Amino acid sequence: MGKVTFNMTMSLDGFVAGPNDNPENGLGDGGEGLFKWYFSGDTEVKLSEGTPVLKISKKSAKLLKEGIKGYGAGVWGRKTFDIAHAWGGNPPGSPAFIVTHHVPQEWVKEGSPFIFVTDGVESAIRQAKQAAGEKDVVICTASILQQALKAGLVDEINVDVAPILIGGGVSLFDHLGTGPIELECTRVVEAPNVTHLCYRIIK
Amino acid sequence: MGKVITEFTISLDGFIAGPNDEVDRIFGWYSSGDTDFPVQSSPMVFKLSRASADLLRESWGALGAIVTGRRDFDVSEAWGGVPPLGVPIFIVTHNIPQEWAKKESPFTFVTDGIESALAQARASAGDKDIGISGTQITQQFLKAGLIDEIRLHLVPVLLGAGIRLFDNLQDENIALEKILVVDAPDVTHLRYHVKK
Repeated sequence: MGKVTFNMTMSLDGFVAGPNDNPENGLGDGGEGLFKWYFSGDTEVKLSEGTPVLKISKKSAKLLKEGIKGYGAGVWGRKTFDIAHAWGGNPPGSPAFIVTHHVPQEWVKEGSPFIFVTDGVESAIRQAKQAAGEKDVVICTASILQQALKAGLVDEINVDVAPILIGGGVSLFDHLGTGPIELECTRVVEAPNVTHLCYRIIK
Repeated sequence: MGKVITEFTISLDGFIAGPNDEVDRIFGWYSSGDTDFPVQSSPMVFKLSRASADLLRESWGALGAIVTGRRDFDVSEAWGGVPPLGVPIFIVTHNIPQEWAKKESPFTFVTDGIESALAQARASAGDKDIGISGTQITQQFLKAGLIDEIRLHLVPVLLGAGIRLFDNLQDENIALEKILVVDAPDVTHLRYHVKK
């Protein structure tokens, strides 16, 4: 069975977006620096028709391509889905499970890449695992990670640390409300404008 | 002129101590290696990996003075009366603890703010580096644009609660340049230059 992993870019002070993030201001105030590494290299990578062409370093590209190979299903939160404007119907990975209280009816149709889950994170991960089979389930939203960590459902955390302090916004490891969770650092890759860290959760 | 450096051991979720100032969960890397590292002016001997020992030796050897806050002073119980690492230490406080206000006190208390503390530390450190410690003092230094380098010893644990290093920055946007990453056993050493 595949792993349940997480992957997002985080500022050195722990934010995945600045304050006031919304569909018109995706990375929040002062958050643009988070994605500098996505657009400052010389290797082009395109995740889907709904995402811009990334220009990243060779080192980062190698990691990203490994991630794509392992991708079995993804889980996002509704806010991320809205901020990304549903990636125009082409999410960075498919199938895409979206945890939400209210299903956006315009995306409930034949051939939609989205599966909306209204009964919580644990259910979303269970369904995603089923869809992924031997491949990995990738969580790409901070609040989903927090809930999944609390429920003990995460195997691996990938954090791409951007060299910036944002000072406020969406904190990646907020609201854990748990005792310490021990990790094992399994990989450190230093690449231009980013440090890729991978941790296994010790259970 | 020496650099102004802040250096902390920090959990992946950004805490430099637990809710009750406990550091046992994050300081494991100080005792899990096989290289003896005697701590300056202290009977303590760390057991570090060779990579971590090389870094700390360089970092602490270049230190000429430390500026920290009153909370750090109180929590450490005045470091047993001996300034850490044997360098002059400047403690920013509103109220000078009278029992340490004597003439031959090993501590210098500064009641007129961080700039004054830095100027006094510089005068004392000469060409050597100045270490900034204490989270609240570090935050004040960061906001004032007075830090040259951030050195983190990132340890593989999520503490879930405690004392955050990068708190109270009030949406301050600070660009950094990564200058060193060392993947050592039980810790990842990260160094960033603060762009000005």
